[in-house]
Amino acid sequence: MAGAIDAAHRAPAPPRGGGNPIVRYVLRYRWQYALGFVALLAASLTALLPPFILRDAVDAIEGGTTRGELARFGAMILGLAVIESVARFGSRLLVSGTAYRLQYDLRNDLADHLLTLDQRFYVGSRTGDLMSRATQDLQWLRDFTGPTLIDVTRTVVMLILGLGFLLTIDVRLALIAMAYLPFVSAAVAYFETEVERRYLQVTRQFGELANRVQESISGVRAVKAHALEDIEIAWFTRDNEEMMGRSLTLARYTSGLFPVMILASGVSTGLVLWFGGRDVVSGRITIGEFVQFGTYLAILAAQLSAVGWIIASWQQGIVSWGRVSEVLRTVPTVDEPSNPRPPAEGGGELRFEGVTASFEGQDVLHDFDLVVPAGDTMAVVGATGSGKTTLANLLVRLADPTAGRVTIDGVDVRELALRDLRDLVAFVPQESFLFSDSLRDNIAFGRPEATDEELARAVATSQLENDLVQFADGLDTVIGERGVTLSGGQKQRAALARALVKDAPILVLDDALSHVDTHTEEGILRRLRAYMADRTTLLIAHRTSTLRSADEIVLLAEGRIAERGTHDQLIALDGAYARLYREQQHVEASERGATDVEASAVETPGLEPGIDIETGDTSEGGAS
Amino acid sequence: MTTDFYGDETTFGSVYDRRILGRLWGYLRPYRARVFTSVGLMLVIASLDAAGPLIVRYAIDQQIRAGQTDQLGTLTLLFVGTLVTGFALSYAQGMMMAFVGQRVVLDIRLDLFRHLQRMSISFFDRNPVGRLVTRVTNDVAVIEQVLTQGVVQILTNLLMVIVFLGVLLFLDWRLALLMYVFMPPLIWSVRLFALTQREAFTQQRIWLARLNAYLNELITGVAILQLFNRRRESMRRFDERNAGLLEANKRSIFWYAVFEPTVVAFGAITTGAILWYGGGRVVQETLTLGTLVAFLQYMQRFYWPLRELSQRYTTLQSAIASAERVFTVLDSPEEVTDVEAPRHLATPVQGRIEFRDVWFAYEPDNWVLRGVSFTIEPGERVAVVGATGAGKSTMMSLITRFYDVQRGEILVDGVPIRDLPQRELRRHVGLMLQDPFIYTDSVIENIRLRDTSISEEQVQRAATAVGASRFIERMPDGYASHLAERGANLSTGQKQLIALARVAAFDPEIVLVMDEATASIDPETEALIQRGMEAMTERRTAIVIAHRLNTIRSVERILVLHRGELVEEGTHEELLALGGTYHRLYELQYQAADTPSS
Repeated sequence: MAGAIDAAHRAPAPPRGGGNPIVRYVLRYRWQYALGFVALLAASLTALLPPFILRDAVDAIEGGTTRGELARFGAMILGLAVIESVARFGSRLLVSGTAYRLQYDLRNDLADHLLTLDQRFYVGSRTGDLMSRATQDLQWLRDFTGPTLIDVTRTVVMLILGLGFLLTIDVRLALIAMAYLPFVSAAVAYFETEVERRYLQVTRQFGELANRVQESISGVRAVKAHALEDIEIAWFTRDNEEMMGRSLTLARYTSGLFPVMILASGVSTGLVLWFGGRDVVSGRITIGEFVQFGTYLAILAAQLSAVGWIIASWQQGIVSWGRVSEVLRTVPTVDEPSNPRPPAEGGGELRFEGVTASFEGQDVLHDFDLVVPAGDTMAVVGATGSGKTTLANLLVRLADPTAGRVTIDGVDVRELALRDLRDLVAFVPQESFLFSDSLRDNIAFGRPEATDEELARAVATSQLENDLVQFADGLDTVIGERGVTLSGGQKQRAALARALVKDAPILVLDDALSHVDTHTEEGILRRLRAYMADRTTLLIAHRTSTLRSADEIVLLAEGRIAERGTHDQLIALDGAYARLYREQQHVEASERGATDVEASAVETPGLEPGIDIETGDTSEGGAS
Repeated sequence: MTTDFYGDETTFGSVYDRRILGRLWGYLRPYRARVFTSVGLMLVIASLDAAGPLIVRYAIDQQIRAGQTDQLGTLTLLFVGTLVTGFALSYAQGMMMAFVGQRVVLDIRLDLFRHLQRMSISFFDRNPVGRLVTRVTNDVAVIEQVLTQGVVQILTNLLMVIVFLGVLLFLDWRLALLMYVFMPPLIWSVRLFALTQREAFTQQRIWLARLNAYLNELITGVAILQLFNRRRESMRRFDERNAGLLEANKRSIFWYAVFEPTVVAFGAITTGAILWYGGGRVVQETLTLGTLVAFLQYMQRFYWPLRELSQRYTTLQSAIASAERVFTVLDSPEEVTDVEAPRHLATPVQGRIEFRDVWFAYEPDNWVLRGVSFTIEPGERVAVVGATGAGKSTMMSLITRFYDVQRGEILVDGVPIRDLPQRELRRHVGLMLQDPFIYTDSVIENIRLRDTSISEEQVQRAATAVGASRFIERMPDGYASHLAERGANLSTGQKQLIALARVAAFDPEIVLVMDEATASIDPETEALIQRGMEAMTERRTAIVIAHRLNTIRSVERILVLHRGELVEEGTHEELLALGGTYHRLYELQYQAADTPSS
């Protein structure tokens, strides 16, 4: 079983079910789309019929007609308008409405998918980028599958039908009137490439700018402490001037596109005036046809003038399609077993058997073996990068080993359903992340049904009681960005309480009390002892004062066990652990207060740059 | 400050908000010559646009219907001429407004950034970085879009409508009046639509803000969610927000789907009426066919701008909302200000610090410091000791004037720091932060913080002095090595060494060190930091918040803070002998670390 992790397990994710993941969503709504298109066709066709009525009306007027007949023409125009209105309304509601529905589905599934992806994925991604995919890109995708689709279809249909109608009136005049089309296409192509290139340059500079602001504000204490405001302003001004220069270059092209379209289509109207006027006089066409011709040209011009932006949003849609698909296609490397085994009843014996694991391409554990007997407390110590956290991560499958296996009561963790595995382990991570929610919800996070007594016990064990007194609403105090900011130590203790409430047979503390002062930590450990008595505990720490309470201690160095034994045995061994102990005895002194309320504000928590969390609807790229 | 998290995001500004429009105009004012020229050009462009149907009218009435073709060539040239002129003017006008827009954006951004640089730390305590970044980048970008595109389009469209109305009246007042009849209901429906869009828009933004905030949390806390098996529950909550947004969107789509056909229908009714009434008059020969055709052509051009106008409304609305949020930041008062006639420190600066009955509170009546008084002589090294929340780091922040004291005063070399320019004060007081911010830049720039007045040698000397040079030189590019976002490629200890070098490079006379325990530094680096700290505090006035017993023993004096009051001072031995607060602290904390846990 040790070699069960074959190459396929680590291979790059194959696309799920072959085709593009977004197509499925479009197909889900195929009937709405089909119906929407029928309505759209009807609307486009009826929009092009009034010029025929106009022609007849003008010719009738020219020949002398009655009010009654004129009223009939007016009524026909109105009738067509009613049909067009209804069809337009239907197509909008069907296609755009579906696009929003599709966006809703896609956003839910994308979020759900993100929640299944593992740490390997998250290490390689930035929150800001993921956010922008889930917000801006979905928005562009929605436009792409809705309004843009409508616009593109309508423009194409109207152009083809319109040109066809022109040809039915008079081929020669139609060809003359269309002479400008190649010119328009060339102009569009030219502007599009120029605009695209320059737009990219502007976007990039915008990203630079966002980064500059992000860093300047995040580092505001350093800037202030060293009186560097003027230097910051100077750099920012420089960046902004560059931004302005690039934007103006872009404007040179964007300002031209629309007027060029108007010019081109206008010139063709001029040609029709010249040639068509002569044709009417010579009797080739009637004056009604002349008017009809002009009307068509005006309709076509209106369609063409929107082409520039339709192309832009089309391109944007394609890019977003790719960016969203990319996330959806990513398959977690930590995946559900196809035939999960039930957890064994064994009290939580942990075994690492010949485990090799890597992080960012470098091996952190080599052929590592370790057994933690059920109910024992195993302490792990070692320098940064020695593989302590990896051990914890492998156990809960935040990562998988490249060789060897990790078992709980003899069952490979990869054979357990993820849900079962994570029910077995209560984990307190290094970075104690809490949600912007009430303290109660945060602590009862793993077991929302926990009773008040259970919560109170966990709060007492993690020594949060005294802190609670400071908060107006006690356990119901909202924390995080929307509420009270907790200090580093308070966060860690809340995270500990959260793990305790979960009441799992295995407890993992990954450097979980580093921001708690020694005195408090001592109190916590003392109270934890009863809790840990019948649970298997993996205790990762730096302080020997924390470590010594364990049944056994392993000292890791470069991914291997360098020393192993009880505290007294290791002291007697007089190796690295004993050295560490002596140094800490020497160093550890009175002040253990890394948990000052004021100190917690040293770095204001912030969001990722560039993402407009409020609107998510910026058209310019973020700080990517 | 508002206590509601969404408070800032739910201000969705009314388009008619004069105060905000007035302030935006303030930014346009310096470029008013260009703005007015631009408006003038638009008027010309609109007139040229109106000329087209008039030429066609002439061609039909005087030439085609009269069986003439002799003037058709001239008329065509005239027609094309108006087009080419219109093109040139539009382009010039577009560029002009692009320039104005970019200048205005530059001005607003710089104002905003300068303002932020003047804000005190308490401002940054209250405002998350992400929000401020959004103000400077995206919100300003939205304003720009509207200034360069929106305003121009709206003005052009309005002018076109007005010019057309005038021309129609001139051509035939009766036919024109017939057209006008349909105007009030149309304007009314446009307004109604704008109103529904506004409602929907507000809802959309609220839901989107909730959705995004929650998603951001889900992504940041994904590992916790997974470990606590909370995916389903979290998705349920996410779906609530997503569905809320969908509902808000649906309402907006519905009204949009209603609005577009409404305009189409109005256009058709008007056309039908003109055809019926105008056609009859042509037959009666009280109206020329050319005029009728011109009317029909104006009709087409008339409804287009109206549709545009209504669509621009939402854009304009979001810009006003952005402007409002930007101005809110610009209006936040400076809490720590320089006095009008500042005093200066006599050089060379000695580094004497004096607290005179200092009282300070972050929130009214919640005193963090209560009447603290002490003096530190030049070159003296002092440690500050106290339990969590005793006010130690607050004391440090006050010396650099991150906050101003409410009562009493702090003096440096006998000058109250309130009377000193903040920047002069901070040049002489170096603050070493526990968790220093690392820029995405080279090591050297991270030490001198892009202040090029500090030479490379000075940086290297500073790094060597505090013992940071060893690890820096081991990096692939030495001092030029690039540091990742937030110093991700440095350990906590290395970051602190950089912070030490930073302070040393700026060579202040007074250093303040916030050095509280973090257990995640390995012992080797820990020793290095300690030696560096000693080197840095030598020959300088130093106040240290220390957790290392060694440091505490080595200082000349210890100040003991207890609940914001200075309760004891003296050397380690003196204070131990005193048997008071310090003794208790020492017993409790040092002994705790020493007592076997088993």
